[in-house]
Amino acid sequence: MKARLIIAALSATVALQGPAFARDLTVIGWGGAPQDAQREAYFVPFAAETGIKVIDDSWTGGVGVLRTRVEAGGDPGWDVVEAEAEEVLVGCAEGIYEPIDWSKISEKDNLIPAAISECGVGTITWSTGFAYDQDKLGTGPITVADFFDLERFPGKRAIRKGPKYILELALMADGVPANQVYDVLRTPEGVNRAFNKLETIKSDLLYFESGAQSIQLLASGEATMVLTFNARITAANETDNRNFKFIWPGSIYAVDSWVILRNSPNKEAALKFIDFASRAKPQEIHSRLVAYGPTNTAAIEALPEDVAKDLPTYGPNMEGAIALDAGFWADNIQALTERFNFFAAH
Amino acid sequence: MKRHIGTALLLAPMVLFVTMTLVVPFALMFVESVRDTDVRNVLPRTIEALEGWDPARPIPSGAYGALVRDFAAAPASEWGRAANRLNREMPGARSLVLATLRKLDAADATDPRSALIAQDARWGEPGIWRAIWNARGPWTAAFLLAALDLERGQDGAIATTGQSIYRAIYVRTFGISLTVTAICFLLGLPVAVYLASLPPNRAVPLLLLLMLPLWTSVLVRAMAWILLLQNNGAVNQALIFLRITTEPLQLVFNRVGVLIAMTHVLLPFMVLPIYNVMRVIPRNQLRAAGSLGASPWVVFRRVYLPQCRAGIAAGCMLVFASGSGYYVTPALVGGGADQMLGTFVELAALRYSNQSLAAALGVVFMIIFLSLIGALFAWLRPMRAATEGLRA
Repeated sequence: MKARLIIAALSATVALQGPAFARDLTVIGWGGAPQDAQREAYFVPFAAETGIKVIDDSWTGGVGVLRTRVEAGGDPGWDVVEAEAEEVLVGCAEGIYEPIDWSKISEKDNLIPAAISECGVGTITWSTGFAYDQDKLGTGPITVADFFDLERFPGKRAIRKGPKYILELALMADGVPANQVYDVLRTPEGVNRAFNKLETIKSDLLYFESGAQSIQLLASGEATMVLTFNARITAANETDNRNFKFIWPGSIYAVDSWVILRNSPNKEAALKFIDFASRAKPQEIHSRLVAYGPTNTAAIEALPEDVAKDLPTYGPNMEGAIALDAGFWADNIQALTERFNFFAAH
Repeated sequence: MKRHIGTALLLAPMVLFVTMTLVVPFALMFVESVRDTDVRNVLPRTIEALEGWDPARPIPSGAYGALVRDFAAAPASEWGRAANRLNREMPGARSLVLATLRKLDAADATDPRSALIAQDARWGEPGIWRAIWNARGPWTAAFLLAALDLERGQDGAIATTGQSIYRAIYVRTFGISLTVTAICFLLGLPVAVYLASLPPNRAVPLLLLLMLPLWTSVLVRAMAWILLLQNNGAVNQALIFLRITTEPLQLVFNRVGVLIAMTHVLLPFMVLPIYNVMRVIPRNQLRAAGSLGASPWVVFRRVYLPQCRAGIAAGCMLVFASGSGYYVTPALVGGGADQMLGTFVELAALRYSNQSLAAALGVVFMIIFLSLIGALFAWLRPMRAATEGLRA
């Protein structure tokens, strides 16, 4: 009798596992305040409208992470990932993303050109640059070159643990005109020049993985100046009453795109989600919550001045700023990442 | 006979578990560190056409046609790994292969050499073919050599690579681990002595308190230490308040932070084995030694401590073994110069998608680690023989 009870209990447990094997749509963002905004503007309304459950998680970038997931075979575990510009290019060339079925994206004609590619649907325009606390360093003006000036502005500097953006900024700080940065960076001498510039502040460098850490280091005073992303600064100023300043001249803007990992079991739901997230109204809500520019032109036009002024796409913010050269990074991200990690570890 | 079968059956699940979770993964890791099949899987005809090729001589004529046939055979989705593997031999090979693959037509099989060179002149040069030749597999020592900062030159000789990446990391990893072991020993031995002198009902709650760090998440611990040790954190504020220092000390994002955070979580591993051994040392031995004229210090050094050596050895080995594998905590609370080997294994496995290099780093790590543990074990063996006699 007891044995039968045990067998029945075990069978029930096994049977209940059945539905759990079908995985919900999993969307991956970059965490922190920006992902909270995505949740409010995209994930929750999409689930409410379509009844498709969305699980969201975060990552800190690197096409190798996606490559590993897809090449492991079978279900990659993630469905839709917000990837940076060159991650989209590299992964697409290697075939680790599902090509986008643009017939399912209703807003295609309203998207900015940079948002349309073979494997990705652009979602935000965002800017990377240096930032500092005006309460500590005054109202400036502080430039990109001052990041490397440890005499006038002593203290630690925090940068992302990767070569992207910091190499360009190092060259600009070293006097290379903004429109020539990538030409210089394509030469071995240019790369050496950028790393030598970084070497000058190496003893005061801190590294972070997630964007939220950059704000934390600035807020706690551990770092005097940080490399960070414009919306995180805006969010800190609004929610935490901070007085941070993002240095717009010399900042680098780029478009992030949604990609669908190959062999995802939720491809149709993924396309439906991307279609929803490309519509004007959700993008408008999203940009009101976090200071990243929409990719839907109708959304860009619908935003009032007081919201638009914090966006990378705002006129004055684009003066002196350059666009990320995704092609350059697609070719060189692997080698430069290895060199950067070697630089950081020794 | 029956007892033997019974014993075997009782032990079988554990043996199976250890085999599946320890022996098999290690074996797979060794195999992965020498495996080199990424290119062989998608370029079988080309490799066959290059059979016996001496890279100093011209490219075999059949190789071009074989390559075009291989390109036609496999879909683009399988080319990622091969392209990346070739890129490691020749920078630029990745984009060369992927671009040619997409644009090449199977109809170009009539004159494959011209068709390929029309796509990109590099197909006429030995560089890419040498890369394919070097990556032909099915096995290679290249990853194990790279893990030791060595490489095989054009002439086949083994030499040190220009960038010494990993040797310093091994020294650093085991150096940090040994330092943490020493600190845990110095801090943990007095704690174990004290706990062993308490009756069990008083010792157990204190032991539970000691084990508290093990019950918190590693990320929570790391963040808590950052908050405590940062420039305006509680520790620095206390130090300044007590006038011990006027400027905040840099206690985190450097080696100090790593040592503090690792000691915090590894201390129980040192204290518990020593405490367990100390508990069973008969107290009347110590009293007897005292009555024979030994001072408390001599009693401790010559009667008490030698009997604890097994526990001390176990504690040291546990802390050293655990500490060597740490990389998340050092990555969070340490600086760039404090990253341990695990960070590089993760970089290789996840970021660079170079599983073979990750496995090779693991193999070298295991060899060094087992050597160090073996040396520790051998050093302590004679002591154990001595304590055997004492207990009898």
